[in-house]
Amino acid sequence: MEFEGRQDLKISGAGSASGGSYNEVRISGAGEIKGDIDCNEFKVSGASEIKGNVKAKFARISGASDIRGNLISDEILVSGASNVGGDVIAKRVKISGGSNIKGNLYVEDVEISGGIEIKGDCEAENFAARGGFDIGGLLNAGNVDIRVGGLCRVSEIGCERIEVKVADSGFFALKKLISDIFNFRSSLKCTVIEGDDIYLEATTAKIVRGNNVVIASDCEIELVEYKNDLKVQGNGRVKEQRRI
Amino acid sequence: MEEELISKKELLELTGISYGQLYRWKRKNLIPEEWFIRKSTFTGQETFFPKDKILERIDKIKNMKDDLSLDDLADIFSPKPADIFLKGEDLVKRKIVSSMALDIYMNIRGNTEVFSFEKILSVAVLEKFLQTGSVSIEESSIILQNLEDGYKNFKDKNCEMVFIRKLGVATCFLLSIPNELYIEKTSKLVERVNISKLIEEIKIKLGGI
Repeated sequence: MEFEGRQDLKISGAGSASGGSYNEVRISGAGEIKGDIDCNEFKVSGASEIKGNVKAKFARISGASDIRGNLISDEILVSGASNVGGDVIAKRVKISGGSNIKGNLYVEDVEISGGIEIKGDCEAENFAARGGFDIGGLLNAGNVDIRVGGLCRVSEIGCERIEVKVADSGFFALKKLISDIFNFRSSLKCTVIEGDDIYLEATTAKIVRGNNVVIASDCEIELVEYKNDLKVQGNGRVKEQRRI
Repeated sequence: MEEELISKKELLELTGISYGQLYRWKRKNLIPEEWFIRKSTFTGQETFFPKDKILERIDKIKNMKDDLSLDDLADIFSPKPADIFLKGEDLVKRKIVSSMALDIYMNIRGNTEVFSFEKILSVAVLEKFLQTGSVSIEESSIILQNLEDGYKNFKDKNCEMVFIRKLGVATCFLLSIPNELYIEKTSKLVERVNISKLIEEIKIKLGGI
């Protein structure tokens, strides 16, 4: 076994350690790690500061965590606030708290239910988001599934299939009520969306290009270029449309 | 050297692929990031590609994607050396290098029985330079030396070998791609060989590994 014979690292009060190879790393107080970490399981429940890269088979961050370098892991669960200075590379990522990634996110499956901010690009096979997010670069995914609740912002989307709908259950219904009162609308804001099959609600975009495009309620699109089919439903608005 | 560019829209029209496919191939690293060139146009930002390179690559992907998985294809196109060892005679049999190039290599480096990918690459580079007819066998040994010493700095990265001669004295460089090169007038750029492309060719000949 890869991790056999490795030591565990546990910091439960305030403490610091140097980096290195471990089996399990558990930080429950305020911990500081001064170098790179390579471990089997990485669990943070207090506040932690890691000055290097983190490589782990499994990572769970439930407190506030600040990783200066890259975070590489098969599976990542974030329920507190996490801050990553570099790239995040993983197979599966689930974020229910807030997350801030300064670099890029490369992942197979990502599920976001809190807020996330990615400064760079996001590449995923499956991208599912409930809540708000902010992606500074390109969102490149096979399947994009967005339930808009709050402000979603991404500079560009390139995908095979995208579905953007307004979230309407429980918490979001309350949120909708509040936003109705304050005249604030949950929406997805984007410059360019390109894909094969596109279904959009509550989306504001400059250009939408695709094969089969449906523009539904609360959309405002300046230009749609489509190959096979374009449907405009409800109060969706398209300023200019071209078939190519 | 201005490369001719093609816009994303033209590319899709010309090749008949969809946006979904293009983005999928990008995600799978079949199309390198640096080929996506962003430019401002009157309609806003648009993406352009180096025309010849992208057309050649898409043609290759379309031809091979039925036989190989996208991940296998990504291995072929990646500039990383493959994990493989072959005997000299097999290299010639499978037409990866010529027996002449192999002989010259063994004259310089001594008898070699088993070739790692790096060594196969060395022979192939040697062959490419000698084929042009503008590099002598004596000069080819500096190419070999430079490749063996310098290539480890370029692993995973695209690079090329540039061969220059001034007043009969030859020298060579390894450069990362993309680059721009200006050479003073009295020197002559004899030949440049794209190592990454050669790696791709070898991998295809090796048969999808």
